[in-house]
Amino acid sequence: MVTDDRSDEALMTAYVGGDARALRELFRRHAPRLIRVMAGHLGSTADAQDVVQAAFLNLHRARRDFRAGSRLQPWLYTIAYNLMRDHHRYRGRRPELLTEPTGPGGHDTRPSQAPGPDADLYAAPIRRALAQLPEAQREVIVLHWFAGFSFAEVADLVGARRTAVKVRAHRGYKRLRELLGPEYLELGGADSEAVTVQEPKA
Amino acid sequence: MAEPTPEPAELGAMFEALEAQLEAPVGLAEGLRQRSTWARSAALLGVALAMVTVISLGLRRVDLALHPLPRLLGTLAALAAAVLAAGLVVLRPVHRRRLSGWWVALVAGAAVLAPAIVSSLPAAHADHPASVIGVGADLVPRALGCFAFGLGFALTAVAAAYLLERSALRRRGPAVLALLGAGALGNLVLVLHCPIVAPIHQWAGHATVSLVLLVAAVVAVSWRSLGRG
Repeated sequence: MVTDDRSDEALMTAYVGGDARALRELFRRHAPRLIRVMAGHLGSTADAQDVVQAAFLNLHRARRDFRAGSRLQPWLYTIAYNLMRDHHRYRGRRPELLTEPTGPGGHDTRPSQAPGPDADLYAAPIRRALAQLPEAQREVIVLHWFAGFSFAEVADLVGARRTAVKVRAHRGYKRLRELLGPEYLELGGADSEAVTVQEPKA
Repeated sequence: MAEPTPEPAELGAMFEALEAQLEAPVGLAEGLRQRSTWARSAALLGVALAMVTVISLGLRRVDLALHPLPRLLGTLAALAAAVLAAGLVVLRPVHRRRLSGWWVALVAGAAVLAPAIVSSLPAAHADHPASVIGVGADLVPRALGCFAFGLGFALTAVAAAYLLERSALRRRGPAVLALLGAGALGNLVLVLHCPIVAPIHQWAGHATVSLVLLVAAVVAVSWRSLGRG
């Protein structure tokens, strides 16, 4: 596959100018991670895919609002988060009530997995723990932990200062450690240090 | 169970479904909704200004010279502020974080309270023959006339908001604020048009425009809440 090395913003500007292929490249770049982020909030891949598809549709409908000098990623994520909140409102329930496939007797059949960048966000304990966090903390942790954004990027995406984002993350991770417990954290060799609030060096 | 990150083939199918939606014919209303927020805001403001211009040029109240100017300007400013605030929230672009429910409630409250307060003020003057009618046996016919006049302008504004708001007023916040902002606009038009100053006429013929639209907003919200199941 031929990759396009233009920046997101150059692609969006080209799309506004009529280059339909630019949207495909933007979708290829951003959809996978955005689906992962939305699934972290919604607890369902199908719902996350619906929200991401609607987010790109809204990006298209609002394309004439895009101005040179703006950054695309915060745009796209804000659109997706707005849709995700509408989704919750429409469903009238919080993510902890969303159900995932379970085995006979209602037991989760997913193997538990240690928290970390490759954590399976479908593991029931992680879903339940995340759902118990305040939305501001959950938002930061999903973006940082599941999606792998740096704190600077998370701050940009949620429209908050980096220090405020770090405080939210610190509190959220602390609460997650309490909720998940040491047994869960030891699985896969992870320990509490694996879930720190240090900004990734990369 | 599907993995959180879909396979390339699944992503391709998602994009093709998206492309199919993008390639669907765009009608007049959808074309308007896809304009920039600046263009949509200018269009909605233009509709409101056109109403004010029509009234000011051809249908303005006959007692203007006798009406205390500071009070008139204060009244118009309060109603215009409520209309503008509601319009800004209704057309807020999708790439900006949604306002919290408190902000929406604040703007909705202002759009309801401004007409109510204006209608509750004591009569501004009694110096023009046209200003002292509309009470007693004359109350209902005069009030009905003003109500129909104001509601007509308000519904025109709701129609404009429907054509310009990107969800076609399917979202609760924009729908409620479009109705209540339109009610405030209907009252603003009546302030410019109607010379009757008695508070009972103001309540019966002017504030009722906002009250009816408030009831419509409550019904719309309840209906959508029930619809959620």
